[in-house]
Amino acid sequence: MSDIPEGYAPVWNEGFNAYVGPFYGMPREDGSVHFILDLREEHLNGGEVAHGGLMMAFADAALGTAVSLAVDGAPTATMTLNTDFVSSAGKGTRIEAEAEVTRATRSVVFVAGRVYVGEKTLMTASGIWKVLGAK
Amino acid sequence: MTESINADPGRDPIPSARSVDTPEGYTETPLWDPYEALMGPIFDKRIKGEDGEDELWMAFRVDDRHLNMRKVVHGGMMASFADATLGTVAWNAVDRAPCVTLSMQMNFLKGPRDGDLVECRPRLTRKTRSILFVGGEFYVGSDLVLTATSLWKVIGK
Repeated sequence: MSDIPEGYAPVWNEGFNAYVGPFYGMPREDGSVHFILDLREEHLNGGEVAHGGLMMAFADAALGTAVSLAVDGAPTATMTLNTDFVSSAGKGTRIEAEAEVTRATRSVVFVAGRVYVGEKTLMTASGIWKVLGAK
Repeated sequence: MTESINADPGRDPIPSARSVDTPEGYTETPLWDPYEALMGPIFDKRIKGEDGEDELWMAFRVDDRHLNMRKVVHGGMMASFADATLGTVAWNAVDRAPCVTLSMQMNFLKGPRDGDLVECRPRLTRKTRSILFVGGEFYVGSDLVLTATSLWKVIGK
């Protein structure tokens, strides 16, 4: 991607994230995170808008990063993810995501967020993550 | 071997980003979405279940493209495969009219690892004129790894 704003870095840039992304993210002072991704041809479906799977993967990356920050980087895994597909976006669009932890307990973390372009919401997402190794 | 549920002799599918051996009993699924070809290949088979019902199964073989930093399949990849498989059922249930995902809910029971064959048994739960309800269970061998439910909208209906 060109024109990445200052302060953003590729997040967990190995394997899937590196292959599909990179997903650029930045933590905010309030503990939430902000992500950006410029949509490429390979992100699209046959209708030439972002594939539902890509949208969920982007949301999972943003929500998972907010979770990770809330537990000081302890290993975590998605247990449940709920997504509503509100609208769509096409090639060349810079889509954004933000995610914020609702509640963190010792062993599970509740998180919610959305994917959007400017004022337009594309997806709302919520989930519960497990803190691995914590009982 | 049966013909793929996504077969369309009238056009050429998008080649998958990688070539992978076809699992026994499966056939490679022709892919029509660039994003699915990026993840692909995907395989499918139609068999008679124990109760005599027709069953559709879809599968992908885990490789390095699909893993997260803990070396298990990325949640986003499981979601992507779920969207592809449940969407295939929705799309074929309405004679391949354009459909979009309205919502998807997923529970991640276990993280598949490199080399695992992830198999999905998707089912159409209910179909109205404009909305489809599709669910699926995902396995590695006999281990349940993901359950998903989803709603799809038939565009223009």
